[in-house]
Amino acid sequence: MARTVVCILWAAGAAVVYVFTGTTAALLILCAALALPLCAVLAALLAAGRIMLTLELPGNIPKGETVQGEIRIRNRTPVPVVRAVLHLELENTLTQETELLPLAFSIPPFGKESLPFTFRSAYCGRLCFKCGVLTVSDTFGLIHIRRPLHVDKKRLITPELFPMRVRLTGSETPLWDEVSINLSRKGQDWSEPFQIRDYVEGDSLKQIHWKLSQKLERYIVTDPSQTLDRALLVFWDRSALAKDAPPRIPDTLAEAVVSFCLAVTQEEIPYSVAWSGIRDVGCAVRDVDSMDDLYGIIPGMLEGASDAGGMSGISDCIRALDGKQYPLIAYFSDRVSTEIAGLAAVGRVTLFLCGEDSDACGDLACHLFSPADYRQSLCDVTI
Amino acid sequence: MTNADGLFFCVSEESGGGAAGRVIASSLLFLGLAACAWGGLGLEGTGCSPLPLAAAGILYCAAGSRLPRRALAFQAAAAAALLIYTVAVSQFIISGWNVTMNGIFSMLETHLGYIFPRYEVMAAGQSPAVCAGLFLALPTVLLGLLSARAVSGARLWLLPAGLLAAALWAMGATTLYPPDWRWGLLALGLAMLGAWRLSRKNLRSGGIPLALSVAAQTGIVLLLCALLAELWNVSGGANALEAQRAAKSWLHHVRYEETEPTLPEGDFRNLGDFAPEATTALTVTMEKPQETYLRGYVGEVYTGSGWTGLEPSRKAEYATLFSWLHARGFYGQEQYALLNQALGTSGKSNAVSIRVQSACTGWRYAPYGLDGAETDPRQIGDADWAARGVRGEREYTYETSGAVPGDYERLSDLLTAARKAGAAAATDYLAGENAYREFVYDNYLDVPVQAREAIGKVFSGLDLPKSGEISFSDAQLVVRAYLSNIVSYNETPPAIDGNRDFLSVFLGETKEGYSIHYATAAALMFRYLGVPARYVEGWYIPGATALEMSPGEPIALDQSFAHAWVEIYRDGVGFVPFEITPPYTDPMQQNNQRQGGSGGAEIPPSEEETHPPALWRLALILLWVLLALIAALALFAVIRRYAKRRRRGQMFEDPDPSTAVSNMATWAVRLLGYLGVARPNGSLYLMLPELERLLGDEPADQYRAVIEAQRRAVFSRGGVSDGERHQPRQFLTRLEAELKHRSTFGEKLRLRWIACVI
Repeated sequence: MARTVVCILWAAGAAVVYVFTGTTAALLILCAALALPLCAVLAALLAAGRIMLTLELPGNIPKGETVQGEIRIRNRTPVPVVRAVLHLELENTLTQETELLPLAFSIPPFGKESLPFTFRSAYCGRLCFKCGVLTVSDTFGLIHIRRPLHVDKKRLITPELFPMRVRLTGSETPLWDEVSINLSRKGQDWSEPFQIRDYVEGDSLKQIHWKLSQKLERYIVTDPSQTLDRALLVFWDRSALAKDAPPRIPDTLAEAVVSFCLAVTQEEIPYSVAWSGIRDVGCAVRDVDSMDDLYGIIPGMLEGASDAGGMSGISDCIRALDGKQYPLIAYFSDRVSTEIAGLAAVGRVTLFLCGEDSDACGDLACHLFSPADYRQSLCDVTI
Repeated sequence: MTNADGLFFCVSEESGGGAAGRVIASSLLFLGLAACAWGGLGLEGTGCSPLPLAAAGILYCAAGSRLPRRALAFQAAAAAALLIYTVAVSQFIISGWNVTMNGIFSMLETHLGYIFPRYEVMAAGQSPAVCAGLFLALPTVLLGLLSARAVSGARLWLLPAGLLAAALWAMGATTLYPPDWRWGLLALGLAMLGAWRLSRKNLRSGGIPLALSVAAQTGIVLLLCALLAELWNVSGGANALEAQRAAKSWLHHVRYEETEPTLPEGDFRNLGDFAPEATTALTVTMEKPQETYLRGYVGEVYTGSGWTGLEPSRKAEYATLFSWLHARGFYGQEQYALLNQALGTSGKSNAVSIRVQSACTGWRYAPYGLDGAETDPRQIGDADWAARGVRGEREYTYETSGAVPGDYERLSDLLTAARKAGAAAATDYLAGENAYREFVYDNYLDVPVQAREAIGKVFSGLDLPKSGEISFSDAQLVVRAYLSNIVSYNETPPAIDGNRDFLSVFLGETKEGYSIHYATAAALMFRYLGVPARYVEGWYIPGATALEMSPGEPIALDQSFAHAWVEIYRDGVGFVPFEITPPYTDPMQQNNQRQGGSGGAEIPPSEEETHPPALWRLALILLWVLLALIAALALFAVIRRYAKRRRRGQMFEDPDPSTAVSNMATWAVRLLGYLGVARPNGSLYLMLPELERLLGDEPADQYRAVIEAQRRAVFSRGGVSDGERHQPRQFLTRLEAELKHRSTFGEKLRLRWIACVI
């Protein structure tokens, strides 16, 4: 504003001087008072559209370590840029931490500039670097041209894993040929009976166990069992995370979930991993058979959760499972959801709660831990 | 730097750098301010060279800029040098101050037309120019430091620079220092200031490339503006004069006039009829009532549409003369009284008191023959008498030794006799009067061309002597006779278009007018005949009216007493009024013509206004355009060459030795092409025989080694080592030297500026 006022005063003064002196130099000053800002604005418009930015980041970013990145800027125009400001936004999508770093620079015609910066994250997650807008000022600071940038880079900060021993219990039969049968559920697999009972009207003739019927002189039918190829569902309910939850909560949960999954994978137990809070989808379910499968899904798990207002993602998970059953379910969250009974219908649930007290668990098996002691609390768990 | 709970995010380096850019920006600002101050204050009159001062100022621009820590020693040395300098030259500072102030006063005299004092210069063995230079170094250094702080310091430092710039603008608007080329440099400096203040808080402040590019961009725009201004500003000067006149007229009206002015005060552009109102303009009280002319506005230069005073710059040429005259007690307004004193014929004085009521208060209405008036020793000339104070003066009293010096011929004769008798008083008086007469004859005989032609037509039948000299009395007779014959008195004459020459139209077409018309015509006719004359407006109390007055009784003069007349210079006596307007002429006055006394000087040569032919002006404009184009091309060529060579250098210094060697080898082949060794279709080794023939064995061996290195770099897995860059670089240097040696001047220019090879 002050600069605009000064320019106006300069032009007005030059006009007065020219009116009263009439010299060519006075007219030069008057023309310059109009032409210089105009040319500066035009030059800024030209430069704003042709400044190129690239963001250079290291590939591997360890948790808790300071690393350096760089923004490289190139001016492809013959006009100088005296001041340009870009705002570099850094967001940890897992912990919802964001920071903004304004960077002001100048660059000569056809020049190159590099702006190094350092960053460090104490928590795991997915770091998103964004440069949304570049604001280029003209030479005299009269106007500021905003040009949208589409510089967007992501880097993963892998969680720090710790050794866990996971013991699975329950009525499932031991695995053979990668198939396990849960005799406690009724299903569609006729090869193994789920239960034997008397005939009721409406049962299919296929269900009649003729041998037993003849023996017992009444109609006996068998119900098919449900074939299960996964022994376990690990469900990380990210949607239930409170809005004001401190970043160490999702960080602890992430490390607990990944360490748990690693322990199960190392035991060569086939299982599924589900995590809620995915935008537009709700919940994702992935089967894990090997380490490669696990490493492949970690980035997605550490992606930021959509804002569900603290509502649990259990219903999304059940919908995503599409009727599939699991003998055991490991539920990771920071609180017990009211919909937990729905999940209990899918399988036997064991709660892994970060920060809650034991009263919240109710009748369900529960492992409580906190960011301070999770490594000790979860080193040996049974579900 | 930002630091959330677990997220740490900051820049790696603090802002800094760009010291060279700041120095360039502050230097340009300093040069602009210093150049304008130099021109505006008229410091070229001191005689000292501005170049050493500019160098000192730029040095202290550097010292005052925000420099890296390693330059602290330089800043300390600069401060120490300044201190030592001040002590060493302290004996010359007073003399330098005096010389500088004398130069500034000289400039003020030229612009304001007033006498300014002069300091005595005792230069202690040094020339005044050296003393001035030694003194001016101190404010120059201060200005350099100020410029540096304005660019890189806190906002508060903008205030002094802003005040300086505002002062320059004010000097420009008041025409004390009309803009010249230096203002372009100031505009460049202010633009750099604006740009660098914007970049102050950048993470990386701009260095030399940014500073030069901003300066170049601004300079190009200023150059284009200069060309446009040169093309457009055809009538700028005329319009500015008109604007100045309008502004002065408005200001004069606001300050001094409560009603519509009765008298035009020299501006005839909208001259209407003489329609005086009955409102009292002045109240005059005389001790001895008599016919009186009260002089108000005096016109010295005829402009074609009226009268103005002498230009201040013209008056300034006579500053020394009037200083001397005033020191001797000689004032033109009191010349009549001085003559009487010198001749011992002073009579009783007559007190005249004037109270201004509705008339303009901007002038002091003074009668002729003043004695002991409050004259201003700083005033150059004696034409008019501006009133003091913001709203002018309303009451004042004079002592006169005769309101209308009707006996000036008698006094002239007495003076001649006294001079011949060698009377000391008369001789002393004549010494001053001779000098004053020189001023009068230099300035009050000018007649513009158009007016001269009009008068020439009127006097076409007059048999004037070839020498142009005509006696004072003959001139009076001629003017009175011709005017009374060819024009008639009419208080409602036809209006004269302000864009036409007033006199030509009056004498040639309308031939009707009142006192203003008659006075103008008479003044110019007298000048034509070699008698210095001036146009006067004021108030006239006729003898008949004076007879009705009682001594000491105030008489109210209404607007009907407003009058214009001509005053003519009688050698030895001074300016005396000459009545030419018919209703006011008195037969007694007509008898006041005597023989003798040369009142005429040679008829001055006609003014020939020269205008540069239009063709010459067009050629000048085209030359400017051509120069600008050449300058732009040259700048482009320099920048292009620099960019190409820089890019090439970066290719040769590539971090990967293999890439660097390959690039250098490619460039070597290209250079050989310029030398005349054409690249064949096929192996590069095929160039060897021609190379050997042209340059010899050694270069051929070097070339072979370069090609071998290039092949290793391109095709082998191991590439080349860093140490193998040396040989191709040497070979390139040699090839460039050969090119320079073997090329003609034209080829060198082409290789240097077009191909950018050498």
